[in-house]
Amino acid sequence: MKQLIKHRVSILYALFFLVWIFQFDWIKENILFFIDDQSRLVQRISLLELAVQHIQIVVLASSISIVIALVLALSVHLSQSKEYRDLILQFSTIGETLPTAAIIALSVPIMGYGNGPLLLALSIYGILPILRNTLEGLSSIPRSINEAALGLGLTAMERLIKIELPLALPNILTGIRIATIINVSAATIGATVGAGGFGVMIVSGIRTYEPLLVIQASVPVILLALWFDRVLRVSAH
Amino acid sequence: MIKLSQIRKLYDTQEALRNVDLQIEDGECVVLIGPSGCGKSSLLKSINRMIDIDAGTITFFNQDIQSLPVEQLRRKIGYCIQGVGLFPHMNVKENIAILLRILKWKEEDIERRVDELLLMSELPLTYKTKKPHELSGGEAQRVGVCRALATDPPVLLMDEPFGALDPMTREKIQIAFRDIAQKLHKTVVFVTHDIEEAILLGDRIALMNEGQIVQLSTPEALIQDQKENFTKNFIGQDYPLMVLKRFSVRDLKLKPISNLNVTHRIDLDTNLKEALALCIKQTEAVIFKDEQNTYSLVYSDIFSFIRGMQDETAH
Amino acid sequence: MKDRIRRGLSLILFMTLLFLPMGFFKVNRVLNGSVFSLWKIEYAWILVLFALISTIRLKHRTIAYLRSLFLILLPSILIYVSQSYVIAEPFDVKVARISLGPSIYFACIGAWVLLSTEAKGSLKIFISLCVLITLFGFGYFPMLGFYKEYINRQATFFLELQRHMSLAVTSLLFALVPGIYLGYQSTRHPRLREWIMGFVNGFQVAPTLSMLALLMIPLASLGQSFPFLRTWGVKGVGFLPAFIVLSLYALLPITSNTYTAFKQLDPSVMDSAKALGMSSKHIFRKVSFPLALPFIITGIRIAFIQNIGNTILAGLVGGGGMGSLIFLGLAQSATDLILLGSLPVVLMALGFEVILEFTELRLKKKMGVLYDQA
Repeated sequence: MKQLIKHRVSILYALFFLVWIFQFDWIKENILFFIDDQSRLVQRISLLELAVQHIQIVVLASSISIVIALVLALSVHLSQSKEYRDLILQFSTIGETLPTAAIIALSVPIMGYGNGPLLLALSIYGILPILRNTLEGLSSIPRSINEAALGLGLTAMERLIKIELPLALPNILTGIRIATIINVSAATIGATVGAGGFGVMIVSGIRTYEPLLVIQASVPVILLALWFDRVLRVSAH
Repeated sequence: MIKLSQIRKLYDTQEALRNVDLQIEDGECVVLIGPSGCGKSSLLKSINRMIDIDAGTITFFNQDIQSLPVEQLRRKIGYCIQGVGLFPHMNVKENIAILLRILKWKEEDIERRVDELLLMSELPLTYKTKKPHELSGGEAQRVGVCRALATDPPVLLMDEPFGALDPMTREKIQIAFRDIAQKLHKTVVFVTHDIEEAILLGDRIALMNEGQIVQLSTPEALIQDQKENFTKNFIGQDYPLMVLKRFSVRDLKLKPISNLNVTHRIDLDTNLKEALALCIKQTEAVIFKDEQNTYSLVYSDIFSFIRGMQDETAH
Repeated sequence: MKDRIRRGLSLILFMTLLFLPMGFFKVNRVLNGSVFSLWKIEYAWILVLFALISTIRLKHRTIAYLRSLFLILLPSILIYVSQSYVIAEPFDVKVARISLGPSIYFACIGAWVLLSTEAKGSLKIFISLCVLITLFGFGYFPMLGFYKEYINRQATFFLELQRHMSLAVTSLLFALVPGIYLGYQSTRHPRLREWIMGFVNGFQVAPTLSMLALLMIPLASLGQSFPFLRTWGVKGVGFLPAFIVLSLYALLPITSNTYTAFKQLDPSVMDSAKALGMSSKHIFRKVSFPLALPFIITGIRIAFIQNIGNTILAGLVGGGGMGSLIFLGLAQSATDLILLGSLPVVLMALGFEVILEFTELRLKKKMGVLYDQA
C-alpha cells in the first residue's frame, strides 16, 4: 500500500494514458468536442497498436543505448586513463551533435524504410547522456570509500559490482531517464521513414491538416514521457 | 574612529551578537578573537554593512554608517577575506586598480599607485600582468591586501585572511602586514581564531564568546588580568610565553658591552621567545652583536622586561 | 594510448576498402545499381597500400609532412578514382551515376581520424573538407549521383540552405535575450525558478512534430481571420510556425545554462566585489557577467546545434530548409537527394559545434574559469 502511495503520480499518469488509449472516442466527444472532426480517413491502425509499437521502439532503443553506454563507461573506468576517457567522451559527443532526423534519413539507403533507421538514430543519441552520467557517478565516489574497499581485500571486480556500481546507480538512472524521455519524443520523427508508433498519426495529421489526429497522438506521447520521467526519478532514490 | 554601540544581531532566533560595545581608535589594531560561532565575523561585517544589524548604532568617524550610501562607506573601508576573492578574469594590475578605474583615475596615476602598492607588499612589478590562478596562496593574499589599500582607506577589515596559508608563509605575511599597517597608520579590525596571530598583530585583543566581548585588553595585560574562566581556558596556560613573540630584543634596551667573543648570531630584531629559548640552551650569557655594538643577554633581562610591561598595564 | 586506438581504428577503416563495396553504378536515378569494389578499378589498390602504411607512427619530418598531405587529399582522391569504374554495357553518361559505397565513407572517416592524431589535426581535417567541397563545387566529380542531384537542383539547394540557416539563426536570436533574462532571474528568485524551469522543460517533453503541427491551426485561422496578418506571413504553413517552435525549444538550453552560469560564480569573488564598494551595476558589468559568459555560450551552442537539427522538421510544414530536400528524397527513394539534404546539415552541426566549443574554451581560459575545475 505504501508503494502505491509513493508512486501515486506515476500511477496517475499511467491511468490517464490508458484511458486515452482505450477510450479516445469518449474523450473526443466529451472533452475535445470543440475541435472540428473532419477526419475523412478511416484509421487503419488503432491507437492501441500505435501505443504498443511506440513503447516497443523506445524500450528497445533505450536498452541498446544502455548496453553500449555501460560497456563504454566500464571500459573507461577500469582503464583509469584520462586520455581514453576524453577520447570516448569526444566520440559520444559527436553522437549527440548529429541531428537525429539526419541520421534517420541517412540510414534509409542502408537499412531501408521502417523501424531500423529510427532505432539506430535513437540508440546513438542516447549513448552520451547515459555514458556521461555513469562516468560522473563513478568518479564522484569519495576516494576514501575505494581505499577502504581495497583495504578490506576486495578485488577490482568485486569492488565494482558491490560498491561502485550501487553507489553510482542514482546517476546511471538519471542518465537513463534523460535518454528515455528524449527517445519518447524523438521517436515520433521515425514515422517519416515508415517506422511505427504515435508519429504515424501525428505525421498523418500534419499531412491532412487534421489537428484532432495530432492531439490524439501527441497527448499519449507526452503522458508516456512524463510517466517514464516520474518512474525513473522515483526509483533513483 | 569607529564606535559600535549596543550591537545586536539575530539569525532566526539565535543571538549572534548581544549588545556589544566597542570603540576602535585611529591607527590601532583591534583583534577580535574567540571560538567558532562567537560572533567575531558578524561584528566585523557589520562595520562595512556586509551584514545588517538588528539593533544598535555604528559610527564611522562620527557618522552613522546608515546615513551614507553603502558604496561610499565601503570605498572608505578595505576588506580582506580568507578566500581572497580576486577576480579570476583580470590580471593583478586590473584587480588592484578596479576601484581606481571606477573612480576614473588617470592611467598614469593608476600605474603609479599599483607600482607603489606592489613594492610595499614586496611583490615584483612583473606580477602586474599575472592572472590570479598563477599566484601562490601567499602572493594572492598580498594582492588582496593591495587591492584593499588601493584607494587608501583609513580602515581595514580583515576576516581571517591568513588562515589558509602554510605556517611559514603565514608568519612572513603577518609581519609584513603589521609593518605596512603601522607605517600607513591604518586602523585595523582583525578577526582570527589564532591567539598567536592576535598577540602578534593586535594593539588590543577583544576576546569574544557567544555574541559578547568577554574581555578587551592589550596582549600584555592579558597575562595577569584574566577576568573569566573562559579567558583562562581560551588563551591557555602558556600564554605568557606566546606574548614574548610580540617583542624583540631591541625592546629590552640592553646596554652595549665591551667586546667579548660572540656566541650567537641573533640580532636586535629577534623576538623574545626565540631569545628565551636560546638562553635556556646557553648556560651562560648570550653574547651577540649588531653593526655597532656587542650585547650580553641573560634570561633575567627578559623576565624583568615582561614584569615591567605587566606592571605598566596594571596601572 | 589515445593515438594507438585511433590509428588502429583508421587501419580497420582503411581495410574495409579491400572488401566492402566501394560504390554502386546505377544506370539511372531510381534503379539499384551494380556493386563494385576497389579491385574493379585499376591501380586503386596502390592507394589502399599507401593508406595502410600511413597508419604507422612516423618520426621523420618530411615523410610526416607528405603523409599529412596524403591524408588531406585521400577522400577527394578516392571519390575521384571511384568514378573510373565503368560497366560493360552501354549507358547514358548524362543519366548514369555512381553512388558511393560504405568503404569510401569508412575510408574518409579513417583519414580524418588519423589526421586528428597529428598536430593541428582539426585544421587539417577542415582543410581536407574544404578541398573536397571545392573540388565538388568545381565539378570534378561529375559521375557522382550526389553531384548530379546537386547540379539539377542548384538553385533550390542554395535557396533551401539559406532558408535553413536563416530559420535556425533567427529563432536562436529571438530566444537569446528572453532566455538569458529568464536564466538570470531564476538565480535571484528561487520560487520563480521552479515556474520558469517547469515551463521551459515542458517543451522538451512534447515532440517537435506535435508542436509544429499544433501551431499550424491557430496560425492558419489567425491568418484567415485577419488577412493583413497573412501578408506578414502568418499562415498555417511556412516560416512562422517553425520559427515559433524553434525559438521555444531554444529557450531551455539557454535558460538552463544561464542559470548555471550565474550560480557557479565564486561567492568570495562576489563578496569582495561588494566589499570594495562596487555598485550592483558595476558588479554585474565587470564581474558577474564576464565570469558567467563562457557558460552562457555553452547554452547558446547547445541551442544552436539543436536548432540546426530541428529545422529539418520544418520541411514537413512548408518551412523550407534542407528538410524539404530530405523528405523529397525519402518520398522518391532517391538516395542521392537524401544525401544532398542531410550531409550539409550534418557538416554544419559538427562544424559549428567545433567552432563554438573552441570559443567557449578560449573564453573560459581568458576568464580564468577553467583552472578552478582541477
